[in-house]
Amino acid sequence: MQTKRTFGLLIAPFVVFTSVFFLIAVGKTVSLSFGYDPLLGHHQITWRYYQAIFANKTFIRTLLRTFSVTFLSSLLASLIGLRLAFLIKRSQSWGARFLSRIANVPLVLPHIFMVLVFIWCFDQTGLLVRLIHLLGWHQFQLPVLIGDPYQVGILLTYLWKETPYVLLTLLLVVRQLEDDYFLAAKNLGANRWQRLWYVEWPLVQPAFFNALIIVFSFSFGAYEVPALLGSQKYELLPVMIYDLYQQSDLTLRPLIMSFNVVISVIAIGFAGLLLGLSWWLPGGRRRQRT
Amino acid sequence: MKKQISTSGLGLIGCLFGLPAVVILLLAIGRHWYVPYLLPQRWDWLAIFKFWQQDSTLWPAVKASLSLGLGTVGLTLLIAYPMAIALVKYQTALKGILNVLIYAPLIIPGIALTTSLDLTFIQLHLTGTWLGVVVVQTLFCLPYAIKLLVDNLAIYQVDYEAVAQNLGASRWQSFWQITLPLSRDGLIGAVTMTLIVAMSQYLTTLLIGDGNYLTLAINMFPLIQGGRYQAAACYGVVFMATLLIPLGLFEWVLKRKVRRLAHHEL
Repeated sequence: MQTKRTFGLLIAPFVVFTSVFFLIAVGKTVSLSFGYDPLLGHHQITWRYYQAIFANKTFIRTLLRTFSVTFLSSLLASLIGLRLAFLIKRSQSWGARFLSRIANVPLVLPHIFMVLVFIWCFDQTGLLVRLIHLLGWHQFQLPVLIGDPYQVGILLTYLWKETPYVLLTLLLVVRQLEDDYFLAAKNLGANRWQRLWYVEWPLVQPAFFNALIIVFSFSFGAYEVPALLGSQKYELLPVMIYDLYQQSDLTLRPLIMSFNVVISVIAIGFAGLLLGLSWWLPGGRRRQRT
Repeated sequence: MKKQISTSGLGLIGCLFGLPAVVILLLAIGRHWYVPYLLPQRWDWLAIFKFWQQDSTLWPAVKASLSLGLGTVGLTLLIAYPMAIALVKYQTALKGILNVLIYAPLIIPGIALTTSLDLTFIQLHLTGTWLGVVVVQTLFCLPYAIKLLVDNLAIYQVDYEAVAQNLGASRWQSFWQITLPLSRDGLIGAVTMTLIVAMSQYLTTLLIGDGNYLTLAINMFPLIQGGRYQAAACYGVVFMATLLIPLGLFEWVLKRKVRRLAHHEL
């Protein structure tokens, strides 16, 4: 009895805080998205705003664009981070030690700093162009990467910022792996791919998917980078929603809230899909049970 | 030979990751960094102090960043620490739903959560207040803090606190002398991450703060937008100092306390 009370007391601050602020906001968002707005005297529940969203081609296109850019950058960051973590573990060299220390730098710097540095390095007259000109290739021209229609600048900035995060989280897991499994598999004649797929991947994949989900969810809904580096013609979702929200038009609120519900459901659904994939793949919890 | 290439390759990637800090520092203290120069042509070592004197928005921004950041660290620890202890020490059927609630603010797109919270907070009369901003930043920091504390506490397989209580220590003694020193690294990690996340918030602080709290991150945004890169870099250097000095102090105090306790016990 005593322990139950202690447990209750320990989780009480979290439960109270989450219900008061988080759950109320969720409830308000969902009810507003169905047109229930007592403030304006709307008490009727309607699907109208959801219908408007799915009929809105700009929204669908923006959604797909945002999803592809942020998923591609998160996937690349996760794969490169994973590869680097293994390279660092195997190599005891100064390069590996240096990399594992210095990877903390982009982790500490906010995204806007990374944008500033990205502009200074990859602008048309940025450091990279200057370096290549100095090396003697005077005709070299860098394609436009700031405000470009394909969002390459956004993708590269996220890659620069998130790869170290994945690297450091996975390094914690990779460092704990025993070499014994790997050596045993090698001894039994497993080739490189077999060792990777049957021995190493199952041990790290849960952490890999966790990192991928966190990085993707963050960049999918983040405003700063697309606002500073995005093209105005082909904007990304967070910029679009914020611009709508900023108009302070009370009649727009149900529409914005239904945008919020739709993109939240997509983000949660996609995270669930990735978790399910991790669960189902070798090394996932499904296999552990049997 | 192959090994050498991989070593310098890793070192080179390390340089790429370290580059942002170097560029910001050079931008702040360098002068005449035009095309085609790869490095600034002149240096002004006092640039940041001069900027501090000229720019009247810098000091209020430091104060706003610090007061919101430290408030968020306090509220986050108050909620996350007991939660982490509960999650590690007690087996419960509620774990699934608690985990969903913990990680939901990370999975839900930031822009959706921010605009929805803003609407809610207007009705709760929290918009534009210190508490309102701290609450929202805490919401974003809790997942990181709880995860770091749980991972750290879960390392210890033995329930040392129960052992201590068995030997006659009171609950308060066992917490103060056992659990707290054991979770030192977790606490340092949680505080570091919370302060980083809190101080980096741009849109949430701007919207919920209603322009009353112009933090370093908020002031930097228009500088970058307007191409005032040098001023932005000065802000960047000040931001790093504002972030790292309190963190260093905290780590020092906690390590000293733990060392003293260890000494005491010996």
